[in-house]
Amino acid sequence: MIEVEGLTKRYGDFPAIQDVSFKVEKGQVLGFLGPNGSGKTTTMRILTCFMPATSGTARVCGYDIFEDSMEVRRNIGYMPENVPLYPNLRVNEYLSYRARLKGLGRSQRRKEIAELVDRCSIGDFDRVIIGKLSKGMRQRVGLAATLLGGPPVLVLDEPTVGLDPNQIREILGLIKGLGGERTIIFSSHILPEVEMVADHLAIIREGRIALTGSLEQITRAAGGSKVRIEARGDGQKIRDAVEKVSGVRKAVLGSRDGLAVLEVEVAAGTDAREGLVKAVAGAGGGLLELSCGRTSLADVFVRITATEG
Amino acid sequence: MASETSMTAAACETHPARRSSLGWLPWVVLAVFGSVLVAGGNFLLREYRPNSTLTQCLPALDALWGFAALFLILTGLGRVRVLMGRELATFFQSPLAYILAGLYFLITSIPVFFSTGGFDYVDATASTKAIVDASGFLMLLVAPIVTMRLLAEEKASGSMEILVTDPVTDWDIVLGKFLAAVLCLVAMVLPLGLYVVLFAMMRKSSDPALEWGVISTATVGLICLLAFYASVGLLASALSKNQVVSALIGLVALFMIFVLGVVLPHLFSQLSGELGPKLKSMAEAISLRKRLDVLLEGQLDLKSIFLFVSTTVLMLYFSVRAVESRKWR
Repeated sequence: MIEVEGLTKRYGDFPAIQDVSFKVEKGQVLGFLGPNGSGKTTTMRILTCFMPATSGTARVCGYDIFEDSMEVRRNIGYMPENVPLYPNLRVNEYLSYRARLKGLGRSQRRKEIAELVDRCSIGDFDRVIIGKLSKGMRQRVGLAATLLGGPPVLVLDEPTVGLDPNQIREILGLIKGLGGERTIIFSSHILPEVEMVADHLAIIREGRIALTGSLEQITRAAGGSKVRIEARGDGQKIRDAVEKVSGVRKAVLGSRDGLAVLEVEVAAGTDAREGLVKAVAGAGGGLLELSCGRTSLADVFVRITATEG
Repeated sequence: MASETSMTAAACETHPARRSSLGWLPWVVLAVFGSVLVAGGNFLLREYRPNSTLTQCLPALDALWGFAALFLILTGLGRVRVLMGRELATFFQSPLAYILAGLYFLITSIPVFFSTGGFDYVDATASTKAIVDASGFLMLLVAPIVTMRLLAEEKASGSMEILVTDPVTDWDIVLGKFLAAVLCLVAMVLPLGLYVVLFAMMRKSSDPALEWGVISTATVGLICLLAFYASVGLLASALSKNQVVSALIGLVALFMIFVLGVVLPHLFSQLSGELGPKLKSMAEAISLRKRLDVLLEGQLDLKSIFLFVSTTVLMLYFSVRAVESRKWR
């Protein structure tokens, strides 16, 4: 559905993005992650034909973004950061204006606007002047306008920025509901949001794609998993035994209330739990608790965007 | 969502074509039908009423219809119409429009009294010229204020990003805004027509008759001038994000064009030798001021109209390039 190959954009000598490539299949929700200023918006602006890239190509729905810009724009719903609307128009006027710009006929316009007002829970606000709306409501109006005409691809630039937690949840819920039916790219620098909604990730750092893949793949490949063990007994001895279990990379010993607490890092793709239980028992420890946790996305993100390189 | 059809050219499903292809047709038909009517009217009047007032005005009326037909065809482009509609709605919602229109009406009324010496004796033709003259000058100040927000505001608020990523071309955007600006300016000038009606009503039988021919070409000249001002203002608005800055750019540009048109011919006429008169006639040929004067003389000078139209189109072209500049800046 979306294929990006080797996109590079320079502002003068400054490279905003370099050799960005990724793919999004139909129905996928791609979380586009990266610290501020890493090139998320630039990539999205190129994809939506706002400006061309210095080099590289991209195809949306099979149309080249440079050669078939008009077709690409018909197939993409783009919501820029901060959702600029016209504050002097009423919500329904604005939606009708956008629908007409997108070439919707009268009957389809009415039908779609009614549907979207309902779907984005704009409800009674559809006759309110946009300038008087709250930020969250404005975001919903923006999303509704983006959905007009049923574009199969949605590109949402930081759709949750500046919203309160309840509004964030609502917007994310809406986006999640659209996944499967539409192909979605949305950018964010807030990890839990991406984890909640996206099934695929592209992490961008200093203008380069640092990592792409499904949520599972990324956490597994980059992180492995963590096991936490609480046991009664000689901590040192238990740790030595645990470190010998195959697949264990590292075990850090701590203590709490006189109990030994081990944070064990297990290599990706191995299940070391059984071995760990035996090792603890073999070292004469009494196993009280063993809990598994995936490395959180936050760990991966921090490691990729901060420490590496 | 409506049922999706798979496009042969596309590798994946896209939404069905929703654009009504007929949107353009009624407007073109209207323009063509109108033109046929106007041509027929022309013929009939020339044939059967060669000396009527209306026949005298025919060239100017034809030119006006030409503008109207062009307007119809351009607004026939659905996207241009939508953009123009929003612009007009925004303009007429703001109190600024009415304040400007009111002030404009008051100030342009002043020359009516000066040129007529009160309403005792009305030289309607001279007054009309005076009004058009004054409008031409005053619009220099008003037009940039009307046009300043057209593109600057879109850029400042970020809605430009939505606009250019919707399926509209940069020409659609520029044309939509330009037509809206012209309509606004024309709407502000329209009340001045009241004076002409007033003159016609106050005319005593002993007074010289109203020269409708002159009045009609003056109207054509005024519309040309307004369109040109609107295009310069639009370009100014495309050059800056800041409305005040774009108003100033427009003001300075228009003022310079005006002053050069007056000053250059005068300057060249002071030159001795053969070069002087040549340069003077050249400067006059491209001086919008002089071109307007020709139209105010009651002569429908095609060269003058062509100058106005071509410079307007040039300004629109520059505006499109300025909108496009996001791509290579």
